[in-house]
Amino acid sequence: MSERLPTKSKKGARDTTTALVTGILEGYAEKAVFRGFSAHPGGDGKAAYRMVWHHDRPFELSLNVPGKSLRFPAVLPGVPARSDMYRELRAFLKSRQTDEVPEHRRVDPAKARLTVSNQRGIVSLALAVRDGDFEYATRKLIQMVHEIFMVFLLDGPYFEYMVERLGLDPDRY
Amino acid sequence: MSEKPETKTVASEPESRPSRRGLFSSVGAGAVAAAIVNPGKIFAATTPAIPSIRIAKDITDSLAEATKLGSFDAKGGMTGAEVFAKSCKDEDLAALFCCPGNYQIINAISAAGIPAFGGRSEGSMTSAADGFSRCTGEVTACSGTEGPGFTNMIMNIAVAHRARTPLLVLASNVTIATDDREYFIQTGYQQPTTEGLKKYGKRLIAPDRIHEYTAYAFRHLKTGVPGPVHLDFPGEIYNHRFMAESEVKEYYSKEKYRTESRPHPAPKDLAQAVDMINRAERPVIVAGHGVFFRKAWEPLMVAAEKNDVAVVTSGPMRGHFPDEHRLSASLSPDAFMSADLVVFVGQYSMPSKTERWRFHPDAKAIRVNPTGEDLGRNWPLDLGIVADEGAFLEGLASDLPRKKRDAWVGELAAARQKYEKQLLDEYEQGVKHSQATNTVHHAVVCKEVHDFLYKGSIDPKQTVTGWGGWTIGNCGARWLRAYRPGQEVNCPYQYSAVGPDLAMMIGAGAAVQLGVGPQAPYKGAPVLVITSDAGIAYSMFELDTAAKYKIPIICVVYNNNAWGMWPSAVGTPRSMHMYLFQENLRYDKMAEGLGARGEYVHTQDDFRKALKTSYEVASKEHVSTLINVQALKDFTSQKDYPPGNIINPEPGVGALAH
Repeated sequence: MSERLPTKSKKGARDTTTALVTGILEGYAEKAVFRGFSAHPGGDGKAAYRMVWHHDRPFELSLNVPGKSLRFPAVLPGVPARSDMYRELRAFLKSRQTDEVPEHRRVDPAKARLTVSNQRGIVSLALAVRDGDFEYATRKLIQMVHEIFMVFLLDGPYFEYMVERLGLDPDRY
Repeated sequence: MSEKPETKTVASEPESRPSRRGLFSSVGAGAVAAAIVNPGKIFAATTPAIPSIRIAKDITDSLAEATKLGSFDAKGGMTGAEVFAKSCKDEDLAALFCCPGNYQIINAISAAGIPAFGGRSEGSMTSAADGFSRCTGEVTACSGTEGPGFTNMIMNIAVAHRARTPLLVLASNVTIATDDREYFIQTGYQQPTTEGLKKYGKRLIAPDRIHEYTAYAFRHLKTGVPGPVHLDFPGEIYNHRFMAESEVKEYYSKEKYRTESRPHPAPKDLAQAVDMINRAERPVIVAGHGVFFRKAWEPLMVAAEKNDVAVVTSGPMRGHFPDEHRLSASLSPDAFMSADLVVFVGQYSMPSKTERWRFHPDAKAIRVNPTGEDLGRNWPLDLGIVADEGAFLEGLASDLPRKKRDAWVGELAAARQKYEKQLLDEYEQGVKHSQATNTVHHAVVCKEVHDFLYKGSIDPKQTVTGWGGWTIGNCGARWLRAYRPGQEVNCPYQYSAVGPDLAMMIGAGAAVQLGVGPQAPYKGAPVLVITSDAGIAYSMFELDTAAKYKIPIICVVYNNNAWGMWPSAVGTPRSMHMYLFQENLRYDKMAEGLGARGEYVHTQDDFRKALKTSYEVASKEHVSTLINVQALKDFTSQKDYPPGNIINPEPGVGALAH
């Protein structure tokens, strides 16, 4: 029994972390940050979350507690890896980890590492949790995706991209 | 190159004007016979000089007429129209904009001494009334005839509805006796037509209840969240004669039928709001429509300065918190995402969180609204407060402790600096595009207007501005400023209609000429509107109205030969023709034909000169100018002419959607 205790404790910790992340995301749904939300626990500290978010599009967030990561596998479609847009997006996200932005807007590299990747034009965003603070990581990842849509796309020359790739009705903007 | 400045209007003295009959008689019978054979030749040889455009003596005489309120003691008593007009006068109805029709009502209102303006289309006059209200906060009226006139007003009523304008929509509506008989062309059910576009509406059917329903109208116009009120008048109502006051039911004063009492915040709500603001590190107040309508800009300033709370203005008008103030966030969109508490005050049109309103997902929210039914819609709240905006802000001004937030103020300043640099970068790109194409890029147009109005010899607080259109509108909004209440009219606010801009700003110009409300210190100053070639088509004829009433407006038309949405046809080339106009149309010449001045420019230098000349003529002679600025449609393209058309963040300058 005693030998299994650490395992059980680890599972308990994973469950607690999953519940913590789920609660945070439910909180965003209750604040209408998401317009639709569901949690899909996968066991072993893994879970998937689906939400209707920017441009009324479905998003999926995967949680991997043992892997210490949170990941949106598809944040933006149709962004070629060698495009100016992708280069500028990477620079934008990099700036969110430096003193180019105030501290409260920053992802602290000591707490989490932000990575952006591109697979066949689909941009994904992930946070590697460095200090076990999943609340910090969850909130920061949500903030980063929100900033991509509310700051990066709106401040940059991406109106035509939003019309062509995100289904934006030009009359609505 | 700009054309020679010339003011060919506007003499009111009598002038000999050849009538058609006179012309023919002078030519003589033989010439008439010849004209039938070869009219062009004969007219070319014998037609006298074309008379110049002028304001008829009948107009100036009419405007000089003494006012006359109806009286029950008069011979014949009072008509229903006169009873209604007297009630409007008692309620300080600020102005009426109309086209003929609904004759008894508009005649009685004008006779009562309420400033009245007659224009060229009912829709535009509705927007003129809307614009007057947006820059004064006062109740204004519009009117049209039953049937065609009324239905012409619909788009513009919808615009006013989305802006929550306290607009009194009036229209005649045949007679009850002819209801449902398809009596000529003007029959119609008006009230269902404005369903969803008004706060309150009523077809009046009992003459003796006319005052009772006027009371209904003004209760709705002056209480709670404003919005259009629509009254339609059958002939039996406005023609009815009342020989004594006793014949009008419930004929008592406004002090009895409505109240100036306003809901104050519950003490515990106010205390919680004070606590939340004080605890927040980076609070921001979104000062919406209600702050302006309740003229609550002074307590807003006191509250903000006492606790170093940032303020961003929102709504169909701007200026109730000055853009240049150190606590203004209106030009600091990059700081919105840093706010940890958002306090919506009088923000009637609520956004959703994933629209352009770029607040942080974790930001807490307080919303203050004069009525409770809208609290929590779209934007979930940490605290909802039912209160008059002025009463709430007075409470904050009183109860907030003094506090300094240097880091937050510094962040606002840095964000503003970044935004202004971004604007200048866009301008530099625009200069290059302009020089390369021998036309004027939208960023250049807007920067020139900005520098002329705010950086030159004119008092930056003086000129009321408005903007509309797509590419030029988005850009204009970024460059226009509001330094005092009622200085900027956001013409496309929320409903995003193309076209009412000029008419709306002629209404605003009328308010400035009269010096109403916050416009009093700037009475008589010109107003300026930036609009598009697509938009100008909807209300350009109102330049005649501006000239007729000597309302000086400078109308900058960004002429890019296309609807702003032309990129929507790029993927289907067969459709492109539907998005394009003839190139190089001369709106300036059309303006000259309507009694205004016209300027045609296609270089930055000429535009600068045209602005200066136009403003001088507007100030000194009260003559309007349309400046036709030649541009290219391709400037809208972000790919071909970066930065192209840029979408503005919200709220603050450029806010359009909410």
